[in-house]
Amino acid sequence: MTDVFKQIGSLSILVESTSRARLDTVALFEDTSSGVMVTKDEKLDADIEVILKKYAVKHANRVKEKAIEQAKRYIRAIGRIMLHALANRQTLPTNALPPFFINCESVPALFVV
Amino acid sequence: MFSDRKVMFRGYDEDYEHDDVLNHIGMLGFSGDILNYAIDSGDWTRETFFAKFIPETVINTRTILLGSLQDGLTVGGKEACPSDEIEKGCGFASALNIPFDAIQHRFFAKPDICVEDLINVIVPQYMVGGE
Repeated sequence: MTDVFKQIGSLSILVESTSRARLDTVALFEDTSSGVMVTKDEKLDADIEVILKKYAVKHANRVKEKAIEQAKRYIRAIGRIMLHALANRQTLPTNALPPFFINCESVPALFVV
Repeated sequence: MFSDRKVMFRGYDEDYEHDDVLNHIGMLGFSGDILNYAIDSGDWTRETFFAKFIPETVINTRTILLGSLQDGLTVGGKEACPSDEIEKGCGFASALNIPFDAIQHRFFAKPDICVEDLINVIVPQYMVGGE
């Protein structure tokens, strides 16, 4: 589980044109000092728009909708992984969610020696 | 039971201590003085800062993906808590008013490791395995 969440910060979607040509990737998470956090709506939207303009994509709205839907599915899958972990009595790594989104107390120091 | 373990989001509500909120948004990269800056700007009071500024800035700016994460955690089955109601939290933690720290201690790894923890993990086991 720790290994999964170590890599989660680099999770991104691949934006594809309607002819399924691979264009570019858009990151879905931001790193913070307390863990990974899903990216902002505005940034997700802007990152996709940049790709659409860069490659002068036809049917841009359809491609954008598909990319956002893909992003939502990826993140929903992360939620399911977390749920599965909780249901099976596994603990999640501390960087799985920043404390604000868990709404918990936390200890800022990683190691107290 | 399984259904009781659906969600860890507790919700952004009045039980969330203001000091904790400031501490936690500091970990997200917000300046530690953001409260004072906001009040000095004249646009916010202490009350509106916590009631509106924080949810608008930290939660409602991420509704697409945060909502999807919540959908995944609830298996999309909690009608009372669709993606647009992220602030309210959902699941047993919210319903049963479980303390913040209890959630983290139960579901998340310990954020700090002390010497005693380390020693407990590396206690040698003699005459186990090998010859």
